[in-house]
Amino acid sequence: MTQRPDTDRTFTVEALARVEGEGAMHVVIRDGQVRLVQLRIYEPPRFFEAFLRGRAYTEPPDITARICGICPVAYQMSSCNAIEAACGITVDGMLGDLRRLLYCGEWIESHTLHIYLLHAPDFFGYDGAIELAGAHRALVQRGLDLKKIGNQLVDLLGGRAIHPVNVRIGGFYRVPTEAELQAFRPRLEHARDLALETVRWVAGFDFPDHQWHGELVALRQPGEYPITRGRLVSTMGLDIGPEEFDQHVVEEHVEHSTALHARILSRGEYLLGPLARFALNYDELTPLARDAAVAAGLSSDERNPFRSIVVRAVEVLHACDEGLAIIDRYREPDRPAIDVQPRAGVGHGWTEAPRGMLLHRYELDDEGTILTARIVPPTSQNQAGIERDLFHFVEENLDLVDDELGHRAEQVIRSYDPCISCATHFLDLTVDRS
Amino acid sequence: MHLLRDSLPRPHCRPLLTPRIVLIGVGNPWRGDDGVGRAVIETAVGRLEPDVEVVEADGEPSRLIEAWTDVDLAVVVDAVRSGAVPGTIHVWRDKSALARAAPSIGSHALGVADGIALGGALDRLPSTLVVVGIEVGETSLGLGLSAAVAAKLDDAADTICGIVDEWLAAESLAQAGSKATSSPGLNE
Repeated sequence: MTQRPDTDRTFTVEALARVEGEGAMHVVIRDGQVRLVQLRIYEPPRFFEAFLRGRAYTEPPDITARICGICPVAYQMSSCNAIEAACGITVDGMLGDLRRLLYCGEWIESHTLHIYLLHAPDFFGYDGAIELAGAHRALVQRGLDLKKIGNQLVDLLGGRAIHPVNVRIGGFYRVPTEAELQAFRPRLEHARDLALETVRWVAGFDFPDHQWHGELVALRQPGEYPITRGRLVSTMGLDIGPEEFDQHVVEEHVEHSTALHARILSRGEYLLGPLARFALNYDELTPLARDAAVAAGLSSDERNPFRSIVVRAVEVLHACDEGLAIIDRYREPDRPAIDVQPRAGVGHGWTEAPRGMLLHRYELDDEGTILTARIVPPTSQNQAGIERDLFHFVEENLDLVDDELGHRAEQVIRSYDPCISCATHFLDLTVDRS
Repeated sequence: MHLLRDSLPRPHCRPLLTPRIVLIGVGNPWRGDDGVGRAVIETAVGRLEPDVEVVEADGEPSRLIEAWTDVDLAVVVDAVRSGAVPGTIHVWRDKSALARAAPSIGSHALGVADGIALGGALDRLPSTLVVVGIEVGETSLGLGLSAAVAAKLDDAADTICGIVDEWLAAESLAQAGSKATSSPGLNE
C-alpha cells in the first residue's frame, strides 16, 4: 500500500532518461508546499559561438550542423538565413522549396524518434522503447520505417543522413534532378500513410489532465505552416521580426544550469515547439493534416503538453504531405546557389526546429569574417517555461510518493522533448528524502 | 551513409559469397574523446578490404539498426567510461550481455546498448556483432582526442582488423566445410 509522503521532501533525478542529452531535475517541498523546482540543463555553454568567431561567413552551416545530431538541418537553415540577411540576400523560389523539403525530412525523423522511442512508452507504462518493442513489435517497426524515410530525405538533399554537407550559403552545392525527386515520391507517399496511422494510434492514448497556462510562441508566415521563415508571434500578441528579438526577450544566467533562461519582457516564461506552432498556425496545415488533427480531437486551444505527441504526429503528416507537394511542383533550378557576396553588417535568421524557434545572429566584417555569433536554441528558451510547468504539476500531485512523483515529472519533461544538444550522457539516478 | 575507402590487396583466402561487413563508428567528435569511435574507424579503414562498409553514427538506436540490418558482421566502435585507464580497449562479443549493459557502456542518451536491445526485440541484429569500446578521458566540449586516447588509435584499429580477419577466416573454413562436396575450391 502506498503511504502518503512526508511534508518535507527533496528529490533529485540526476539524469533524465529518454531526454536527448544531459539534464537533471531538483524538487524541494517544505511544509507540504512546493518551494523549488529546478531543471538543470548541461547545454554547451556558448562553446560554438566562440568557435565561430574569426571564421568565414561560408562556414556556419557546416560548423553549426555539428551542434546537434538530431536537428542539424535546423542549425544549417537558421545560420543560412542569418548570414544571407547580413549580406542582403533572400533565398526563395525552388531553392527555398528545396530547403523546406530538406527540413521536412528532419521534422519527420526527429518527431518520429520522439513519438515512438522516447515518448510513447510512457503511455504504456513501459520503461522504454525496448519493452514497447517486445510487446508491440509491429508498432515500433512502423516507427522505424517512418523515421527511415525521413533519414533518407535528409540524405537525398543533404548529402548525408547525419550532419548534412550539401547546404551552403545561397542554396546548395548540388540540387537534385526532377527525376531524383520523383523517384523518391513513392517512399514519401508511404511515409504519409504511416504518419496518418501514427496520428490515429497516438490519439487513442490515455492523457493525464494537465494544462500549460503560459504564453505560446512560434513563427507565422501567411500561406504556409511555419518551418523556414516567418515573424515570431504569440498567444499574447507578440509580433516581431528576428532583429527585434532582443527588444522583447531577455536571456538570463541561472546558477543551476549552463543554459540561459529566456523570458519575454514584462510577461515572463514562454513555450516554443509543436504545441505553440499548432496553436498559432492550425489554419496553415494541409487539409489532410488538419482533418487528421480534428479527428484526433485536437483544436487550436490544445494546451495539454502530454498531447503534444499527437501534435507531433500531425506535424509529421503535414511534413510528408507538404513534401509531396514540393516534389510535384519542383523544377530543377538553373544554378544550385545564389552568389552571396559578403558585406559588413549584422544578420538575424530564425527557423522552426522540431523543438521550436532557433535564432542565429552573426556580425560580419566587409570580408565576411565573423566578428560575433549568437545562437539561441529552443530548449534553452523553453527551460524556464518547463520549470514553471513542473512547479504546477508537482503542486497538483503532492499526494504521490517521491518515486511516482519523480517518474510523472519526468514524463512532463519528456512531453516537452527537450534537446540538450551536443551532449554525452552517463546515467545516474539518486533520490534524497529529507 | 557510407564512406569510400582506400583499397588494399584482398586476402588470398576468401569466401565465394562476399559477406556484408560493416564498421560503425559512434560518437561526437565535438566532445573530445567521445569522438574516438569515429577516429578509430578512420584509422582502420585504410587497412581493410574495400568492400567493408563504413558508417558514422551518433549512437541513436534506429540508425544503428538500419546500419547493421542484413549484415553478416558488424563491428561497433564507441567511447566507453567504465573507470579503466583512458585508452583501454574493451571488446564485447556477447549480444545478450551487451543489451543488458545499458547504460554502463556507451555515452549517449539512447546508445549502443539500447540499439542492441531494441534490435534484438525487433529481430534486427547482425549475424555477428562485436562492440569495441575505447575508454575515454576528457569529454568536455572541443575537438580532438586526449593524448592517452590518441596514443591507442593504432592499437584499436589493429584490434578491429584482427576481428574482421578472424571472422573472415572462420567463415571461409565454415564455407569450405559445407561446400566440400559440391565446390572445387575457395581461392580466387
